[in-house]
Amino acid sequence: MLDGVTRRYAVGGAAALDGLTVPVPGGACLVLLGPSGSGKSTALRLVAGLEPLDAGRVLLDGADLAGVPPERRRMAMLAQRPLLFGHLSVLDNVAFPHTVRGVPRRRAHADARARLDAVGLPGFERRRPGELSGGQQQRVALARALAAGPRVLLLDEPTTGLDTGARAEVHELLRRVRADLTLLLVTHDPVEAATLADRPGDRVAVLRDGLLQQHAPVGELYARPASLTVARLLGGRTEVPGTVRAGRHVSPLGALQLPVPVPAGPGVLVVRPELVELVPAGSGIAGTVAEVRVLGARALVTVAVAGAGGTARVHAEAPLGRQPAVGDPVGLRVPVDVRTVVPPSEDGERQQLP
Amino acid sequence: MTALRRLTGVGLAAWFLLPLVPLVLWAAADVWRAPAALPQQWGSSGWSAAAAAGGWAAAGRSLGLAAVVAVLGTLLGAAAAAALDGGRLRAPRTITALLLAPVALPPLAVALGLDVLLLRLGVPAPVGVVAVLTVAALPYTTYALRVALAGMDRGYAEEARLLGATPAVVWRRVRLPLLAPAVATAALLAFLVGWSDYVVTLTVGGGQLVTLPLLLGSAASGVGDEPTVAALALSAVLPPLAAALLVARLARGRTG
Repeated sequence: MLDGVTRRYAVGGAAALDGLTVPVPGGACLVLLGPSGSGKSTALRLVAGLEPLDAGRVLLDGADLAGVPPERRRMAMLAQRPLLFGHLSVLDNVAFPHTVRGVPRRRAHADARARLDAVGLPGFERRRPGELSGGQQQRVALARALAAGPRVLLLDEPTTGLDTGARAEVHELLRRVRADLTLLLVTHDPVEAATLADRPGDRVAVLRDGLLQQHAPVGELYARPASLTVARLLGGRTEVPGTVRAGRHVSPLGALQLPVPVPAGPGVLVVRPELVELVPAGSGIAGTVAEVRVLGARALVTVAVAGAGGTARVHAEAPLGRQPAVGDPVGLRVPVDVRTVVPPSEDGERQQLP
Repeated sequence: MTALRRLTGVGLAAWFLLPLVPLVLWAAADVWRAPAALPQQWGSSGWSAAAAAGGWAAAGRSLGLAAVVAVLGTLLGAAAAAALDGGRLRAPRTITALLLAPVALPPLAVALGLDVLLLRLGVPAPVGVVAVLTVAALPYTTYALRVALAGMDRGYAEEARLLGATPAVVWRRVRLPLLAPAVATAALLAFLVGWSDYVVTLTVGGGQLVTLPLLLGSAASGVGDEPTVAALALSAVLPPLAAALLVARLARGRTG
């Protein structure tokens, strides 16, 4: 549990992290998601005890961790770089958490061997870390972190330095070894957040400029972003400015009924591209294809819709090969339940938590 | 490009090795008169003369002096580097400049000045020599260790803390092993300062501490007994060379 956690690097300067309060239920995964400079890594360092708090508290099972040194917090960290000790063999690296606590060498090595097996690296005991690939090193680092027997596993962009294949391997391993560990994951990648925070109690906290933007299950972030920042961070593209009047969003797209009550006033309609349906011209909202970009197996189609007060651009996805050509007239269908209106300023309103 | 590099390599090797050629020849010569390209008579008279002149004892004193300077210089250099790296010093630039000052000052002037001071203070000559040479070694050791400390990723120490190591254990089990190559380099540099010193040992030591360079100096200033001088000179050159190779090997072994 983080309670009002604040950290300033310069006296009187802007806070790197400003009053972050967010619960981390035992056994759940909390993702701190944000662009670089959002304060998410700072939060992790404060939780680990590597940096002092300027205000607030970090609580573990109700106990304030103030004054508890990192080595006694029962947390382990898997960082972006594996940080394996180059002067030790792979086995001695994994046995390190045991040997520094005075566990006899034989027992430490037996446990380390079992942990290397568990991360799929049997037979690597005598190797030096430098002889391993990046993905293998990260798996050794994970085995070492788990050997410390942590209650909370801190993950600081654990797959950012890896290629796609190695990244998938580390994700799969993390899901397998997770059991009832509490995870605190820092990442800028919404896909990674969605992959690792997929259990019912898991939550994502979106940070920007040290401020909490939204705290919700990952599905809700996609479906109901609280601000433009959150929508953009999660890959949302369509942003149609307009005005909310009597439960409808009025823009060049027309007066669209909203699924939930929204206070009247200016608001930006955000819709995920994969939820917009392209239909033949003549039905739905009439528009013209302005741009087509192929994204792997799917194509991103940008449709310009001219209406009252200007032109709006709406993004939709189509399977590759089924996408219309630039200049084609098309129809758009935006289901009522996928329409979300956020405040026009980038920050939105600061999320208030109980 | 490779041709140029090879040429540079050969040039450098020649630059370092050529001066040693006459030394090696002289050390293996009993008789070698002027116009001849090679000695007329080979032998080991130079080595026996060097031994008779107290070569072994002088080499032992040199080794002892260099070892003490290496240990003290490295320890003090490590302390200075750690203090500078900690960022808690008030005037780090001034302190760095002071630590590096011995390189900039002419050794003879310093040695003569300190000699008077140490004599007045009644400091025993060998202690004075060790003290002055340790200070002379500090710029090298501090610099080598400071660079290594600055280049050391603090992530390793933090990771070790989270894995359960106390700060003291982090130093012993993580930081020192990571710093080992730099410590070896610093110790080698300090060793060389002690091993090769002539001026300080002569002036501050007042002739009480006869090291290899002193013996070599007096032999070289005497009348042409070149084989003895060559034997002493080679004895002074070879140990540091061996030590340098050892340190280089150690540093390479660590990176694997």
